[in-house]
Amino acid sequence: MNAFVLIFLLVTTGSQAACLPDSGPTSKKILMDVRDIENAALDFEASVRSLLPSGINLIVRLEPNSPRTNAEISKSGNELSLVVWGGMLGHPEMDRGTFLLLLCHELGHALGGPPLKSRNGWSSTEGQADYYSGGSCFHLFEPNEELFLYSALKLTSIYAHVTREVAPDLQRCDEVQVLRTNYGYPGVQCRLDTMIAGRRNLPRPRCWYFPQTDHRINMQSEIKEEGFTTSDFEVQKFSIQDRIKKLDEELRQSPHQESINDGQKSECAAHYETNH
Amino acid sequence: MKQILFASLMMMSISSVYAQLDVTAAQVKHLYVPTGFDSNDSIEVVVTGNLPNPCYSRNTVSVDVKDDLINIHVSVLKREEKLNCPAMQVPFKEVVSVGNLQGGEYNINVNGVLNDTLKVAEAESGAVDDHLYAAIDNLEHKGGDNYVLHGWRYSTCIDIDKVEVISNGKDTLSVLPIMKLLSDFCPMKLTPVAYPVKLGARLMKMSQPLIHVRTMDGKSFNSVLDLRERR
Ligand SMILES: [Zn+2]
Repeated sequence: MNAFVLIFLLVTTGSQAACLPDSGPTSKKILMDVRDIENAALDFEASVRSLLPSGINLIVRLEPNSPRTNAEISKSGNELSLVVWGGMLGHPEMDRGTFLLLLCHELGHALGGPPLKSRNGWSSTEGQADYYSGGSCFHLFEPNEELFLYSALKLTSIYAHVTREVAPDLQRCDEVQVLRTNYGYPGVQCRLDTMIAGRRNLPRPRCWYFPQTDHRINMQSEIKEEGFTTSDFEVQKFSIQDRIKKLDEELRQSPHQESINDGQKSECAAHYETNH
Repeated sequence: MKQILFASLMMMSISSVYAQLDVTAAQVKHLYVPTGFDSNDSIEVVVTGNLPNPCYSRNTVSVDVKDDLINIHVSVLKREEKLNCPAMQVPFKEVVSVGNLQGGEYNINVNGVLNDTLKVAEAESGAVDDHLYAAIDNLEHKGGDNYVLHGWRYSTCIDIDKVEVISNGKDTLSVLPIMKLLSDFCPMKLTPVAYPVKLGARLMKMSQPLIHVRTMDGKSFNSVLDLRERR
C-alpha cells in the first residue's frame, strides 16, 4: 500500500487572505495568502510521499484561529498528524519557503532518526529534526542555496521572536560546545547552524550534538518501535543499519572528539560562505 | 641564605594552607526527585544534609551521567581548625543541576548513600519552545494549605495563566506557575507579583516535603517545609 497524505485545510475557505478574529491579543492577519499556504501544503503532500515508510499516513492540519505561534507533530499507530497554529501561519516573517521548512522540521521528528528525544520513543530531538529539515526534506522543494538560507533565517527569526532570544545571523555561529547532547531546544543561532549543516551534509554542530552519544541504544528502540508493519520494519531496519555505518564513519572521522574543550573556534562560520 | 630561608618559609606556609583545606564527602540526609520533567527541561534535584559543625562549609557538587545512571557527589570543606568549632550540626540544601536528559528512566546515586529513580518524559514535538513559567523567588505560608508564590513580572506583556501542582507521591510537590503572553509588545517593567496557591503539603508522606517551583529562567525555586510541629 502506498503511503498517502491527507491535508486538512481548515483555513477560511475563499481565496483571499483570511483574517483571524480580533479576540485574542496575539491574533493577527494571516499575511501569507491562503492560496499560497494551500499550494505549499499540497506541494509538501506530493513531495514527502516518497519519504514516508509504506503504510504511514500523514495528516497536515492548519488551525488559523489559534493564537499559538508553533507547530507540532504527533504519532498514533500508523498516522502522523502535523498541525500548524495561527500565530505561526500569520507571523509577518512567514512565507512559502519558511512554511515548507517548518513542515520539514516537523516531519524530521518522525523521519530524522537518532538522537531521539526518548530512549524508547519515536521522535527525533529538535536539533536532529532541524538537521533533517535542512537536508533530506527541504532539498525537495528548494534547490537554490540562497533561497534556502533566506528561509532558514526567517524561520529561526520567528523562533527567536517566540523565545525572546537575540535574532540569528548568517554571519555568526553558535560557539557553544556541549559535553552532552542537548535533547531539548538549542538556541536559535544553533538551530540556524544546524539547518545549514544538514543542507550542506556537514557534521551536526557541536552547539547541541555530542558525537559520543550511543546511538545504538536509540536505534535498537527504533527497530522495536511498534506501529509500523513488519515489512516497514524491514525497510526501517535496513536504513538504520545504513545509518549505524554512517555514524560509525562519522565518529571515526569526527575531529570534534579531540577538540572538546580545546578552546578552538567552531568551524560553522565558514559554512555560511556562499558562492556569489 | 636569605633566599633559602624565605623559600622554606613559603613552603611551610603553603603546606600549612593545604593541611587546613580538608575536602570530604558530605553527610547527606535526603534526596528529593521532583516529577514532571521532560526531555526539554533542565533537570534539578535537591539534596539535603548536615555539616558536622560550623567549621565545615558547602563545597563542590559534581554530576556524572553515564547511560541511565546519574552519580552525584556532594563534598564539604573543613575550614581553619584553630577557630572555635561549637558542636552543632548545620543543615544544608543543595539544588543539583543535572541538566538536560534524554527521555527515559534513570537511577540517581548521591555519595554512594542515597538512591532514587528519575523519570524523564518525552517532550512534545513542537517547533519552538513556547512554555513560560513565572519568575518566582520566594514562598510564603499563610496557614493551612494556603501559600503565596512571590516573584517578579518583567513586562506587562505576560500574566499568570494557571498554577499546576504535581506530587511525586512521596516527598515533593512540583509547582508550575504557567504564564501566558498577552501581547507581542514587551516593554521592560519590573513589578513584584504574588500568586496564591493551595498546596496539599500536609498530605505528603514526609514531614519535611520539598516544594519545587519551576521558574522563568528554566531552573527552579526550592523550599523544604518543616511540618513536624504542625501535625
Ligand atoms: Zn520540533
